[in-house]
Amino acid sequence: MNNEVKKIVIVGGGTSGWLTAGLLAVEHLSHTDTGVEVCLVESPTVPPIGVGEGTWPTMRATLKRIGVRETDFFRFADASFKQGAKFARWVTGAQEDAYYHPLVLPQGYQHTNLVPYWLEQCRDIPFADAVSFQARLCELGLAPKQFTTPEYAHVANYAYHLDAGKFTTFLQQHCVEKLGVRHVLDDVVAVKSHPNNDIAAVCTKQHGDISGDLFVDCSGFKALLIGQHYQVPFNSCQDILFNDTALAVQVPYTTPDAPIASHTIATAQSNGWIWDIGLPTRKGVGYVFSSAHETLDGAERTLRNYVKDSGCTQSESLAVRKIDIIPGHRQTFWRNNCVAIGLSAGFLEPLEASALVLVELAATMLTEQLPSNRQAMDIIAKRFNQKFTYRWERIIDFLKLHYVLTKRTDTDYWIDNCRDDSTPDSLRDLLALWQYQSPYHGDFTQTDEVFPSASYQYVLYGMGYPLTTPTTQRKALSDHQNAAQLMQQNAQLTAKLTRGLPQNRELIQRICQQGLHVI
Amino acid sequence: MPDNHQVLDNVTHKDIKIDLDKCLEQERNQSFARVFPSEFRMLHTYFPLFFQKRADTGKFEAIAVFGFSEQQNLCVDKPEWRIENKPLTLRRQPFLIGFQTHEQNGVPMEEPVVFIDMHHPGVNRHRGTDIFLPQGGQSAYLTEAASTLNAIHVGHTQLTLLVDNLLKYQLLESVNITVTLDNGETRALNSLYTIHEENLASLDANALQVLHSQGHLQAIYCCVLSANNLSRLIDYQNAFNQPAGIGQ
Repeated sequence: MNNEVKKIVIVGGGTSGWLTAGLLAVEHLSHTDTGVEVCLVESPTVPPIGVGEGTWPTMRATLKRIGVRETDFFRFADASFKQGAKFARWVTGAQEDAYYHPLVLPQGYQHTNLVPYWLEQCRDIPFADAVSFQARLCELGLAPKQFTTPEYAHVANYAYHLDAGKFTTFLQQHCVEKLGVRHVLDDVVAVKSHPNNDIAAVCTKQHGDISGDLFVDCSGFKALLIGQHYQVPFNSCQDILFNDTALAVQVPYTTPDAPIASHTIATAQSNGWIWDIGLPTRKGVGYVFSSAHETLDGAERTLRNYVKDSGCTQSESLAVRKIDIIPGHRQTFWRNNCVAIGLSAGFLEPLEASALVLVELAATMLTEQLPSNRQAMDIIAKRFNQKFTYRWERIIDFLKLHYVLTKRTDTDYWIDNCRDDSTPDSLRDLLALWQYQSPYHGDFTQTDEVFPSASYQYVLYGMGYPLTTPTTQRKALSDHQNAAQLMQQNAQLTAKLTRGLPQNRELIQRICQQGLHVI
Repeated sequence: MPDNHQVLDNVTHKDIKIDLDKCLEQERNQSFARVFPSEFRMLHTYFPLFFQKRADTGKFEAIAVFGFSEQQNLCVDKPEWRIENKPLTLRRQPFLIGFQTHEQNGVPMEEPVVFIDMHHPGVNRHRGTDIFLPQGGQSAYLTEAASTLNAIHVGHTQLTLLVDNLLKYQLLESVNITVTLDNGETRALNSLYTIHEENLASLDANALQVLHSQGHLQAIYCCVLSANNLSRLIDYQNAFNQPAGIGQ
């Protein structure tokens, strides 16, 4: 066995496979003779899952790093802008019940926590509107940048909605044509091991054995290497997050020039919630629910009613696709010389679009810390496993937060969700603390937290979590003035941006037709 | 075109005069002007030249900068410009170039014609320079303006070619300029683009040949050198801030 890591084999050709391939290949010069070889083996018979239509703002850096033009991404991946999420009917279930989790931080967040001031002075304004301008931009259907803003630069921080199938094809083409990734279309039928239990090669039907020094399992729910081969246990978190089934439909717009929402709309239902994602050519809508609380027929009825209420006249004839999910993640993600990235590593309901960001984070860490030889690998693997166990747990906590703060008692689903024994201890501790002080920089101390404390603020105060403030004076008066000034600035900025930004569809159309400048 | 932009003719506009003082007054409020490559050589010794994106089209245009804030022109010092040669787009006022379609042998042809902006503050019937002679011929002022308009018309095409090359060879970079004045205040020029000097320095022979043969190499170096004029603008600003008669 040669000790140096010279060749990486990726098994699986979905979004996670190609994103990982792209990042590895671009950073490790796979297009040159002396670079690291990256080979991606994709089954021609297994169709990709094709969900994961929402990203995080991190995707902008990832795409830029891989070296694709943002203009091309809009043209080929049916992409649109995403400026956060609107959570409807999560608190009381009433028609008007809604709050935003935008992607910009509250004004002055680095140095000032606006929560105490907001609670005291302006509770009648929704928290997201009081401290940031982005919810207003979403409500008005505005884009997060201007046509003159360069590629990947923003006026308001943004992520994307995309067509996962088209995105994969787009990435594949770039990886193969520009980055020197070798693409093998074949089924992996067996795994060959070294004496130390490392994987030596994957055996394919037609291309024989494909050997490598490091293997990345991007084979989706099948988890060919991390699951079937290594039998790494799966930690289910269904006792915390109940949803285990999704029904998805593609919904046409009522007119070709209908506005495209620049945020994800997540509407709570009796036994789960419905995602509503606007792409330029269609909407992606799906009901993710708990099969212990809801029947398949009932769920389908709920979904079709939602689609019908949104104005679609063909709601009864749209094809519904069922996706079974087991919420949770692997006990370890990196075993021997095999790393699991994507659905093989785990899956959680798409409430905060955590799927693709985890792929990006994992692929980026793998790329940046790629062990140069086998001796270094175990140390990096240990670090990787610690980091990602922490990240999955934080995401589970954060998703659960959206449920435990509900006041809904209309179904067992919501009542069960608020049971203490369904809430992780880590989250319960935080909630106990946050009765007396609001989340801020001190609550999450890792340098690269998945969700910043600001995200917890948006959810907590969007959902009306009460805060008991001490009667003794804790902060200098200047803080008060500073807070008032920041909110004033926010109001001015909101007015300015709502005047200056174009409609979301208008800008996307213009980008596709004329292209953005790189600079 | 808006209603106030009228095709110029020697009947409708025979009494029109241009009040040059009012024209200057208007220019005093202009912090920059669009410029064209043929002018770079002349202008680069007086003004900082930059590029910026047009808000309406997203396309790059070249500009000469006169001041650090909106409506501030530090290059006009009562009652005159501090320099003789001002950009074409200022010299054409209050005239504009427009297009009219004419049938020529049954084929529609676009022909450039001179328009006049009737809302321009310099346009009036009482004071200033005549644009038409008593018999209806063009005054020297109008003749000069017409040739300026023609230069601008040609300049648009030249600018497009230059910008295409600048983008092709990655010779533009975004720049935000902050200057600190003697009194400690700062002024900023944002959303501007300038020549990417590192990329310029590493151009290969082939690229240099292409740029040289199209006259773009000279235009590019004029832009680079024009940056020195920023210090002159700062001097003007400092002098402007200095109350007269104090500290001398």
